[in-house]
Amino acid sequence: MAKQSDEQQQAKIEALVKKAQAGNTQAFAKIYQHFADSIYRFCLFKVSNKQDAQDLTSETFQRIWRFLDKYQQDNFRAYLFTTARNLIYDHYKKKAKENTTNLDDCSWLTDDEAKKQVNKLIDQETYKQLYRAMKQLPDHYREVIQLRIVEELSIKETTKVMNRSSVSVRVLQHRALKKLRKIMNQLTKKNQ
Amino acid sequence: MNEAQLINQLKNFRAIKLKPQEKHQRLKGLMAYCQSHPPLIQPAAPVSQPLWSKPWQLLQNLWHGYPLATTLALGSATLMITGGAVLFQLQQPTQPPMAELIPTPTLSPTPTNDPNNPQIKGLATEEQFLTEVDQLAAAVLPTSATNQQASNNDDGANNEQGNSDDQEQNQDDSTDDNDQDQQDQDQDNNDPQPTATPLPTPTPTSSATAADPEDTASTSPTPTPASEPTSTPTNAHVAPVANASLVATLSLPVDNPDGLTTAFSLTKKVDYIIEVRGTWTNKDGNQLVDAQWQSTDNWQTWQDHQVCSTHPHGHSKKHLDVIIDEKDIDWGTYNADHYYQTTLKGKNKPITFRIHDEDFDSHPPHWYDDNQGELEIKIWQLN
Repeated sequence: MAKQSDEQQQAKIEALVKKAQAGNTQAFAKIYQHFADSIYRFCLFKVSNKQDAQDLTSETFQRIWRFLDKYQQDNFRAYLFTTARNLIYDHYKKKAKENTTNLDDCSWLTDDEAKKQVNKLIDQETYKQLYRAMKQLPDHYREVIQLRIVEELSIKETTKVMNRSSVSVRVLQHRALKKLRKIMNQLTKKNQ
Repeated sequence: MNEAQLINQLKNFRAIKLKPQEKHQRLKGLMAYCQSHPPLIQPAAPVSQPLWSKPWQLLQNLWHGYPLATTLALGSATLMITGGAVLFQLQQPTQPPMAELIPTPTLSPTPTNDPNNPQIKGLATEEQFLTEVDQLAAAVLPTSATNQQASNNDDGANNEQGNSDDQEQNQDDSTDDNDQDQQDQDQDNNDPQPTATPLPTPTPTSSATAADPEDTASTSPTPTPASEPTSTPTNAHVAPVANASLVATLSLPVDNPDGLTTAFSLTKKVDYIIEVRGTWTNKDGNQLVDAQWQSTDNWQTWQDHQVCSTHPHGHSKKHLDVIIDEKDIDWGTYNADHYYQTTLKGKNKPITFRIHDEDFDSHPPHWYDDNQGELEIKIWQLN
């Protein structure tokens, strides 16, 4: 099946959201199926803990459902990522208070499932190196890379999620990639 | 490394996805949440027009919204109107309390079909609702792991998503099999690989943290439900699926390092469902354990062991789990009834169940000394 254009895809999502706003849970289930993985990845990179990422993903969709009425036909994907981002910050605050878990824990890297999935595409060493390099980036650099490159959000969507101007997002992306490349090259040299 | 190469490598992170079983469980939980928590209806924004243009409405607002002004007004009608008008320009009309604006959650499992009702609609009964959820979730589950028939009435985008998930899962399964069963392949190349696929069981979807004070380094925090999670039907004599027949009921002693081996062989190429039920105690009763999870606070919170090379005991992921033929089994998400199941294919030989309470490389039997209890195991054959 040919890949649908972004506009068609967005129109389809908006139609589903409209149905969900009218109380249609089936439409909302479809929305979940469509976006759950993206939100999970987004959360996983932020919290570095598989279980927390899964919980945050569920919480995001629960929050979205509860406040669906607030959403006005604009850009649902951006709305979804913004909600997830807010919940992640709440999560950080809560964790900081409890001080029970190391937020930089990368145990999920050793998770069999994740390894298996990524191993298909890139070798384990590059994967680890890339993850380490990403971890060395400042939070907003990492975020822009994740949104723009991994999740392929448009500039407009990213501006909404990150609450920045489009110029700022472009500049941030450029700098983030430059820095990431530099870190990757350093890590490669070290390993050699 | 140039920028294009870097971008390509970053895109590979998209391969990280929720496990299909996890996604299924979470979707079920989300649908249950949607049923019990209808969307909040936002109040209409107050109209900002000069209220002195409508003296009668102003009077009404004063009467209902500003008791102080009204009380003062009781003494003098003239004062009330004049003072009220001034007061009203300084303050916004009082909003009704939020409790009145938020519709009461519909806890009834029977949603309404009234098109004017803003709450859940479109599904007649709870049974129908659950069927719909299963059908929707079937799109993200491998067909072997569910007994539900996948509904194909989704639109194209979702079908595409679901299909790709299925394909990926199948690939994962095959890779997993190849990794795990290398030894078996050496022994019997023609034998089918045991595919221990956990079957979905109801699970809570909540967010909270837990920490085992003793094993923080080797465990991962897991959710604690605000309310008691939904449980799986636990009738001991009910088959997990309609076409299954009970082969054996066993008791697995948790203090035996050698575990329990079946006295019979499981027929080659035949699918079996293994059920494990119950809990046992570790550390002289200080730790409760089931097939997958363990708790030190009477199941208020629960944890699972993760691989942790820095832990003094070097706990592996399967630590304290029920393992089959020395292989780690993913028994799935926490179940309040401590009832878990998995499927495997027979290989014309008996199978061995064991509690994995040991170090990486050694089998110190004394570790089993403080284990108490037994787990019930049922083996069902799929016809």
